[in-house]
Amino acid sequence: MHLQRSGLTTALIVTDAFLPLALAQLEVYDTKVPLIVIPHPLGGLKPPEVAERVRAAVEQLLNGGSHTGPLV
Amino acid sequence: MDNVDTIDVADASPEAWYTLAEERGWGDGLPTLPPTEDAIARFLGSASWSEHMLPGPIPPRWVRANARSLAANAVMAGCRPEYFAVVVAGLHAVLQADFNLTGVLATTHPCTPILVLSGPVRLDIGLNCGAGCLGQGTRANAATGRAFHLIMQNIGGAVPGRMDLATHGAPTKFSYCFGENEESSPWEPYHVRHGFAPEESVVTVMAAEAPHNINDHGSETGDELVTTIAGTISQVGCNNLLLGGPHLLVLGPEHAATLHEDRWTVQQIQEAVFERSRIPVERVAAANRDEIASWGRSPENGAYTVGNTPDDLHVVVAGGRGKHSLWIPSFAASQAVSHRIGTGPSIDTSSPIDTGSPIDTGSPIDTGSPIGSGQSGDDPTGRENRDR
Repeated sequence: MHLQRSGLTTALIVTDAFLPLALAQLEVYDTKVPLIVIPHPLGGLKPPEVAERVRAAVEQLLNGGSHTGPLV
Repeated sequence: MDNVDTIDVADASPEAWYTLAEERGWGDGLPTLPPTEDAIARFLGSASWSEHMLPGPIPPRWVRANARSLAANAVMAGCRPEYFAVVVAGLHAVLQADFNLTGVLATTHPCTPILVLSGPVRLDIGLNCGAGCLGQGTRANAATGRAFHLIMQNIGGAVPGRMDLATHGAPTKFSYCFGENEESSPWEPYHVRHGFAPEESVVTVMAAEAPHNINDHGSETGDELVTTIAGTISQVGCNNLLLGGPHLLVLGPEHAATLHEDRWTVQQIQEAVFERSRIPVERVAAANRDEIASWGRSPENGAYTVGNTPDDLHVVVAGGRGKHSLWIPSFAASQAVSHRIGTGPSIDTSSPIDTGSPIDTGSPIDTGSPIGSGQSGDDPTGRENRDR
């Protein structure tokens, strides 16, 4: 949010398990930011799995994110 | 969205209310009491409540509850009015920044706030500090802790699987509240050791795991007992290894007596346990050593400490007869916080905070209302009312 306000292009990466929490926080802060949703978990992944997450995230980012800010 | 103050319940019988609360997601799986107008009035008219005690916004929804919604949850939990001040004091404590309530509620870790009461309030509300103090059977313990957790869920939004993402949760998420057995303790009470006056009533909160038993029927000296305590604490798979942070030692009175007879002070217990509970590096898997390092911790002389300093081990005496004590590790990314009961918030909740704050005093606040007699039912979530 602070990065966004400082003029940087910003996206929020969240794993699907934490999506409701992320959306709730965005609503509270009344912030619209592209959300990049990747499968949970992120911890414990092997490098090829991380690479796949990165690929999927970049693809979403280029398409504007899977959500923009809170769902109304 | 309309500002919901009351809801109409056609049938306020226990069974119907139980079903309604379940359908609305307001309960914890067990039956609750319907929050009627009369019950709410008793709470808010009691000596246990004053408007200055209203807490700030509660995460993760960051909703500013009103008194009625807070009281509704306390009624649902089975509280007596005199427990209400303790519930609210617990809220003030967890809402302090050092406690990191958002993290505590949202984490996959099974932690939940534990309420540890010190001072006269324990006797005033009939709190169990002795045998079974962390088990079933005493209304003050069960209902006070339960109200607190219902508020976290119904108002804060920490619903299991949605914004409370604990992998397994724990039975302690129903209720986790007890008092120090000051009368059986050979040392100064916990709150006095932490700077409060003896006559003050204090609640201390910590983001706690379920208790781990320390069973020692063999030790005859304090030194032997400290060895057992330290050995119980010296375990991997614990956030207090990963991050340091606070953890709690609940000494049963018989263990406390053994230590005191051998002239152990609380400080000496803390220091000795800190030293003897070090975990050799070889007991920690390599990947986890990297994880620990990422949190800024490193081994000393080939071993990790549990907690960062001896003072991270908080010591209280509680329980009844028997040679058992408890070790309660914590989320560790959260500090133990103490708050005087009956006072207002420790943080400024009155005004909008500058940019970045989710608090907007211009938006309608949470509501939550009692059920009218036989008719309306309360919304204990205190739904926010925002103009959109």
